[in-house]
Amino acid sequence: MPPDPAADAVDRTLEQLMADYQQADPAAAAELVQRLSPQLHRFFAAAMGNPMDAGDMLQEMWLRIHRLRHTHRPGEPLLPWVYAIARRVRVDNYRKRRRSQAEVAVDQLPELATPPLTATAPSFHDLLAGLPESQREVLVLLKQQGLSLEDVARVTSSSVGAVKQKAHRAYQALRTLLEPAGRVPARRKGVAP
Amino acid sequence: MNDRTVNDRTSNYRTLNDRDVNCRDIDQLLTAHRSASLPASARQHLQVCERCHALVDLLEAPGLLPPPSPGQLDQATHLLLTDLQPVKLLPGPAAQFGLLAALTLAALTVGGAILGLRGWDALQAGQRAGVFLVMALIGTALAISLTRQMAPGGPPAVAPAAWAVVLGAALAMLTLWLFEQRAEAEFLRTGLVCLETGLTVAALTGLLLAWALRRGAMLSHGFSGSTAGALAGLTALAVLELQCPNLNAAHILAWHLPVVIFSSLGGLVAGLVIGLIPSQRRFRGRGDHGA
Repeated sequence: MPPDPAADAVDRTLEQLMADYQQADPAAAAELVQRLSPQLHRFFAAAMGNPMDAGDMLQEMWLRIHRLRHTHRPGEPLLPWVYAIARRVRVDNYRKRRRSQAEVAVDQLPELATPPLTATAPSFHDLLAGLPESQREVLVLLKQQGLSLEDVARVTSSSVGAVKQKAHRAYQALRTLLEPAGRVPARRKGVAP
Repeated sequence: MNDRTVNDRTSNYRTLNDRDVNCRDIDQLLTAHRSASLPASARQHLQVCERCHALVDLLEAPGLLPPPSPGQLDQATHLLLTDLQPVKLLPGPAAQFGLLAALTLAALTVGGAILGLRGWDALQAGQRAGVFLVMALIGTALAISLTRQMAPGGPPAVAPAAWAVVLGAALAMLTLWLFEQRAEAEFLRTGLVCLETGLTVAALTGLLLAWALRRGAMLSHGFSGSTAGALAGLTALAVLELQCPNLNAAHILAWHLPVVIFSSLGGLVAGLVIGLIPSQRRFRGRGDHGA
């Protein structure tokens, strides 16, 4: 029986799939979409708070990946390359929205447009909306997307130290936000760390 | 998660197991680890620190957002497959750097050949070494920055504001240190000639650099434009130093160095204008099909 190209693609690393996609392998292209789209969709949804916007941005993202696929250099990790483009898609989308919505503040990304995802307690994304954009971005990449510190530094064009500092500040802010949000049960409050 | 990260995390565990974990340690562990894989000593801290406990609970469940629909995945796959052809890859960083260096040296050589070397002849050996060594170092750094900007997700490139401060301060200090100030009868007239010459060379060099950078991703157009503009302006400054025999520090500060500033600003504006073009139009035809 001839080998199934789609099944073969599953065993390849993201970098191998990208190299094959650059050489016009349709199975590799399809597998990249299947593997990367869920986390990219989450990335956009976390940034914009609206699944409809996230869907549109995902399509825009794949369009850019397709146009810029020649700029991924063999041997380089793929995820920083992908997320650097995703970050730019998000910024461009935000600017486009800002131009069409004059009432949106100039120096802030929009807050979550949908109702909170859980009715009882604020979720990760609800609380993230209260953080400055740079801290929110680092937390989404680190904790939601699961990127390493080094990869987050590459995506955000900063140093590992700067990423650690932003994450630390974000944790401090989240601790403060968690208390009034009711995430800290009263019976355990006041216990010394 | 890669092996290196896992090894780093394992060494962190050993260190932390030898002492009590505090809130700051939890922050560091959360940055380097998945919450679920925190070491036992950190888990002990969570038993007594409610603020950290709540934070870890929150970060352990970040994935509640909906996945893309099957239709969206099909649409994305269709988008890729309809125009799927082999692409010619971007050259490696060394080759790209070499191209930028060759183009700037070519502009410098042609500029010197056309405009003359009276400035070079007027300079003393120490002045030649100081001026051109510093400009070569800054030019190398700018070219490396541009090379990094061409492929997304690479090592960080220095921010334009940092470039402006370093470039301006280094060149101004060097000028004041190496050259003397004196009054000039035709300060404005001779200065405007130099400024015009410098801006013309910078504009032509900028076009060459734009050609070299055309296949790069350049995600931040203003950033890339100002960096390329600074490199073009620096090349023009080098041509002026080769051509202009006026060694008055005031002349150099007022008419030569501004070429770099105006060129950087021109590059910034050009980059921002390119960035305003809708992405579908801008990216059309960028794939360079045909390996």
